[in-house]
Amino acid sequence: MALTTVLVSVEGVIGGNAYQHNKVNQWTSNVVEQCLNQLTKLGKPFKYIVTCVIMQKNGAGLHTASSCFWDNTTDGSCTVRWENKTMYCIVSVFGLAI
Amino acid sequence: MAAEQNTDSLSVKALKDHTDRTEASPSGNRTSFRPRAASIISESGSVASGGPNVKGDLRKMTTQKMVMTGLRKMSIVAKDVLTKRRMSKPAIQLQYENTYKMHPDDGTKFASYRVEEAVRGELEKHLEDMKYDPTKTARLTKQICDKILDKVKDLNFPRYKFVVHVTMGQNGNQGMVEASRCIWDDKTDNYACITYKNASLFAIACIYGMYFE
Repeated sequence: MALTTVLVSVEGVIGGNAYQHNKVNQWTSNVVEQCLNQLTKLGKPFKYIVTCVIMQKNGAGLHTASSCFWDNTTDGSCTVRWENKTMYCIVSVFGLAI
Repeated sequence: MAAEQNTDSLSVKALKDHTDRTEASPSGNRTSFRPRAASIISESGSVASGGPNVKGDLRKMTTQKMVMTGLRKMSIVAKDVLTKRRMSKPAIQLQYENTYKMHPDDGTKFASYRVEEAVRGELEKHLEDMKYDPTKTARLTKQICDKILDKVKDLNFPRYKFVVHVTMGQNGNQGMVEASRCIWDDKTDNYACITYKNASLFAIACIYGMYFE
């Protein structure tokens, strides 16, 4: 469910755009804000961390990893990869139970 | 008269076997089978009468063997049943009571500067001589992530949950932005973000510390 929420937010913000250096800052903030708003609307007792990386397609490589110290039964994460012709976007959502 | 006597003796024997079985010791199924085994042997034994009867003796031996293996199998089955019964008991589930601690103790709050110092040192130590290699960097990212998590755990912040997020990439002339936003309790939770760059690669490490009420 978090997956679809995130995808929708990303598509909504950077859907049909090409990479523009002056706008990327604003895009990342918007993506993150929208994701968070949608997650809080779910009304669950969780603390959320949302991370968004937007990178220009240049032939360079990119790797992301995350390691967490939490309670496996109550906490979880979800990572979404999105791309178009000019850029990559990776969004990670972590949810920690209160 | 003789026939009657025979039947009487047989019935008496049957009764005796029955009583033997009921008087068997309470442990397991083993002892309850012995009287029956004995009666089988005695019956077969009683059939062969007079003179040397090799076939009868052999039959006696084979029946004995069959009975003994039967007994052994029964005892193995009985053992399995007992152990399975012991193992199938569910473990007692621990239930933790509330501590009603809403804030961390003095001096145990997530200190960003301490985490930054420790993690920056760790990153520099591991990535100083590294060159970007597409096949190895994936594994290296995961390794660094685990090492940073261990380092943060060693800094001793009790009742804190940690999330470590590491991004590593090739240092080409591309543009990149990373943003992060959190919903948490501002008084107790915090984060530390460290960037490292060398000639061929860059690394961004974000460590989030959330207090577990």
